[in-house]
Amino acid sequence: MSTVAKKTKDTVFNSSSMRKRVFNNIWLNRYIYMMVVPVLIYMVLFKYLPMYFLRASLYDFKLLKGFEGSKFVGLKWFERMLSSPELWRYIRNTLTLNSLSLLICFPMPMIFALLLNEVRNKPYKKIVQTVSYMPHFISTVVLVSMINNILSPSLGTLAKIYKLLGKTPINFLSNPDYFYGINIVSGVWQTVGWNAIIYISAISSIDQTLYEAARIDGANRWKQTLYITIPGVLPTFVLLLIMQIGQMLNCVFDKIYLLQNTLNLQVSEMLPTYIYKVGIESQKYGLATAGGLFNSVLSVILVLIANSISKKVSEISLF
Amino acid sequence: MKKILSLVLMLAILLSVTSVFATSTDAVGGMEANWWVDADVQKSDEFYVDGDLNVKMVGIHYNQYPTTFDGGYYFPTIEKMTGVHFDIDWRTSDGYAVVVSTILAGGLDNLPDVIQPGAFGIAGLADEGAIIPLDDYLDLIPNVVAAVGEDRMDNWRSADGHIYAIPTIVNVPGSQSMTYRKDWALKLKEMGVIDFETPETWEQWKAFWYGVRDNDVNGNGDNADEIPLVLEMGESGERALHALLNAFGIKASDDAQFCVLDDGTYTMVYDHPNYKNFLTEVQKLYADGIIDPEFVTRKQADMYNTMSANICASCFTWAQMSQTHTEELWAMGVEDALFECCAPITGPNGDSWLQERRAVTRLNCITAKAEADGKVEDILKFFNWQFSEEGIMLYNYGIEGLTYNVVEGVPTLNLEIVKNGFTDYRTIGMECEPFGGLWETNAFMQCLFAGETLENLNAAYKSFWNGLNSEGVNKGHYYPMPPTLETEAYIEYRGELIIGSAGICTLRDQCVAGQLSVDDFFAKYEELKGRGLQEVIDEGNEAYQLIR
Repeated sequence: MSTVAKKTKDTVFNSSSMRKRVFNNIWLNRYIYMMVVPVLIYMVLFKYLPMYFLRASLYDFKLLKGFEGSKFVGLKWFERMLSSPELWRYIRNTLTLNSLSLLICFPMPMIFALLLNEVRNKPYKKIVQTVSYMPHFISTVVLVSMINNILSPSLGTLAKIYKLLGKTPINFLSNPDYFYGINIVSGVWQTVGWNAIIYISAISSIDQTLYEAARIDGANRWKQTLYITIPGVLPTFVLLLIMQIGQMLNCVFDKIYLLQNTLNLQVSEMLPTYIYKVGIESQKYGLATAGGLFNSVLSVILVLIANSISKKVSEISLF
Repeated sequence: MKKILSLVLMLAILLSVTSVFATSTDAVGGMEANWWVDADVQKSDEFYVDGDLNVKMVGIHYNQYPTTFDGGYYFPTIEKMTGVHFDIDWRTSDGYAVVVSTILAGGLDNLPDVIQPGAFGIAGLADEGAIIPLDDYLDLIPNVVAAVGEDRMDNWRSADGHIYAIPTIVNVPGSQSMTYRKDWALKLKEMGVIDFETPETWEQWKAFWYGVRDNDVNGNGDNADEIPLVLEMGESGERALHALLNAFGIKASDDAQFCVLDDGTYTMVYDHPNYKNFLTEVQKLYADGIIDPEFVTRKQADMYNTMSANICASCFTWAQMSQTHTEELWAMGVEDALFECCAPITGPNGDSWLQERRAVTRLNCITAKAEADGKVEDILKFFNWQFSEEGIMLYNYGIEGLTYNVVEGVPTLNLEIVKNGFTDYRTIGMECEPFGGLWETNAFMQCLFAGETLENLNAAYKSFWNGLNSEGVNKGHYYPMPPTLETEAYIEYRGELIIGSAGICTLRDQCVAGQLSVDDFFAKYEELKGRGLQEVIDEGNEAYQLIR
C-alpha cells in the first residue's frame, strides 16, 4: 500500500516538476513560441476543425439543414465514387501529370540554384534572380489567359509565328497530346525562380571552410559542386521530395481547371477537379467529402512509403 | 535611386487607393451624373410600405454592365416611391453557384431576403429549404400573374409543379440572330465562286463556307486565317453547336440538351431521329475546316474578337453585335465590311429554326429568412407594384419629364438616351435586367430604332434591326423552346453524366472533333443511359407531361 502511495507521490511530483520545466522553457522562448501561434491557429482552424465535417461523407448533406436535417446515406458516396468507371482514369491522369512534374519541374529549382551559385558577376546574378521570381506573382487566371493568347490557333502569337514560317498553326489547347507539355513548361516558367530560394538559402548555409579546404586540395569548381554543394542541399531536396510525393494526388487546381476543355478532358480531368465538379458544383457535398477523404488517405499512404524508402536509402526522413 | 523608386511606388499605390473612393461624373445619354437625386418623385398611391422595409438581396451582375453599376436611378427612385430600400450584393455569374453555397453554409441567419438562384438552380435552393414556394401567395401578386399570362404558366412553374420565383419578362420574340459577312459573299460572287448574295439553303451555306475557306476574302494575304463558322461554347459547353442543331430540325431547349419529339415525348436531343445525321455532317464540317477549330474553348468575348479581327465569316450571336462589329471594322478602315443578319442556317432537310427568346425567366426567389422575419408579404406586394403600370413605367422609361415625355399618348424616351441603341439606355439603369421586371415592346423598339426611321438607319444598324425585329429576317423561324426540367434525376446526374468529363456533351464534342466515331458516340450514350441518364429522361418526360 505504502509503495503504491510513494510511487503515486513521486509521479505527481515528477509530473509537476516536468510541467514547471516545460512552462519555464516556453516562457524563456516566449517570442519564438509567439511566432508559432498564427501557424497553430491556421492549422487548427483550417486543417483540424474541418475533420469534424468528414462525417458529411456519410450523409446526403444539405448546407442549410446541417447534419440534423440531412439524410444519412451510409457509404453510398464511397460506393458511387469507387464504382465510377472513370475514377481510375482520373487517378492515372493525376499521377501522370505529377510524375512528369516530379521528374522535370521538381529538380529544376535546385539546378537553377546551383547554376546561379556559380555566377560570379553579382549585379547580373541579382537581375537573373529577380526576373526569375517575377512569374510567381502572376495569378493563375492571368497565366492561363496568357497561355490562351499565345497558343490560340486563330489569334495567338504562336499561330502568327507558324504562319510566318509557312506552317499550319496547331490547336495546342484542344489536343490532349499537348496538355501535359503545356502544364509542365508553364509550371517551370512560373515556379523555378521562386522555388529556387530555398536551395539558394541551403547553399548559403554550407560551411565555407569546406570550399577552402577543397580548393587547397586542388578541387576545381565542378568537383566542389559535386562533392560539397550537392551533398549540402541534398537533405533539403529529399525533404521537399517526400512532401511533394504527398501531393501526388493533388494538382495546381485552378490552372488545370481553367485549361480544361471537352477535347482534352480524357487526360486533363484529375481527381481534385472531378471532386470539385461533381461535389461542389453539383451540390453533392457528401460525395465531395468522400472524394476528399479518399484522396487524403491515398496521399498519406504515399508519404509513408516515400518516407520509409528515403529512410532506408539516404537516412534522411520526415519522421 | 531607391528613394525615387519607393516614392513612385507609394504614389502609384496612393492613386489606386483614392480611385476606389472616386465617383463617376460622366454624363451618359445626355443625363448628368446622379441626375435622379433631386428629381421630384411622389410617393406611390398604389403601394407604400408602412415603416421602411429593408430588403437584402444577392443577385447576378451581367457583364454588359459596368462592374460598379448599382442600378443608377432605379433603386433610389423605388425607395422614394415605395419606401422599400434594396441592399443588393451583386456578384458575377462566374462562380455564382459557389457564392450561393457559401451563403447557405452560413445558416438561415446568413440568408438574404431575396436570392437569385443562378447556376445553383431553383431546385437546389428548394431542396435545401432555402426558398419558399409562392403558390399560396399568388393572390398578393395579381399583376405578376397577369403579366405572365395563362399560356406561359409552364415557363413559370418548376419541374415539381411549384412556383418559386418572381419572373423577369421580356415581350420580344428574339435577341439573337445568324449573321454573315455579306461583303465577303459579294466578293465570292464576283470571283464566280458562288452565285448568290445571301445563303438560303444548306448547299448555299456550304458553298459560302467552303468559298471562305479556300479564298483570301479578307484580303490580308493569308487565305487560311478566315473562320467560316465561328461557334461559341456557352456557359458550360452545353450550348455549343445549337445553331447547327436547329438546322437539322432539332428544336432544342435553351441548353440544347432536351427536345420534344413529334409524338409529344420529352427526351434528350440525342434521341432525336435526326441527331445521327447532324453529328455525321458536323463531324465532316469540322474535319474540312469549316467549323471553328476552337469551338470548345471559344467564349463570347473570344467570338467578338474574331469579328473585330476581320476573320469571322458567319456566327450566331446577339443581333446587336452585327452592328457594333460592322461599325468597328469601318473604323478600322474595312469600309465595305457588313455583318448582315440573316435567317437561321437552313439544314439539308430545309429546316431553319431559331430559339424564341424565353419571355418568362424565373429570377428572384424569396428566402426562408424573409419568411422567418415576417417580410414575405411586403416583399411580394413590392414586386406586385413593380409589375403595376407605375412600376412598369419606371422600369422602362425612368422619370417623366427627365428621361421621357408622353407624346400623343405614347411614352417617348429622350433622343439622347436611345441614340446609342440599348447601350446608354441600360447604362443609366433602365430595363435593369439584373434585377428584372417587365420590359415593354415599345421601349425596346425605341432603343432599336435609336431615334431614327428605318429608311435613315445605316447598313450596320439596318442589319441589327433586321435580326432583332419580329418582322425582320427571322420572322416565321422562331420556335418556343422546351424547358430544361430540373428533376431530381437531372440534379443528381447533370454534373457527371451531362456536362462532366465522361458526360454526353464531352462525348459529343469529341465526336465532332473526330476523336470518337459516330457509332461509338451512340454506344457510349447508351452506356450513360444505364448509369442514370435514362432516369433523367424518364423523370423529365413525366414532369413535362405534368406541367404541359
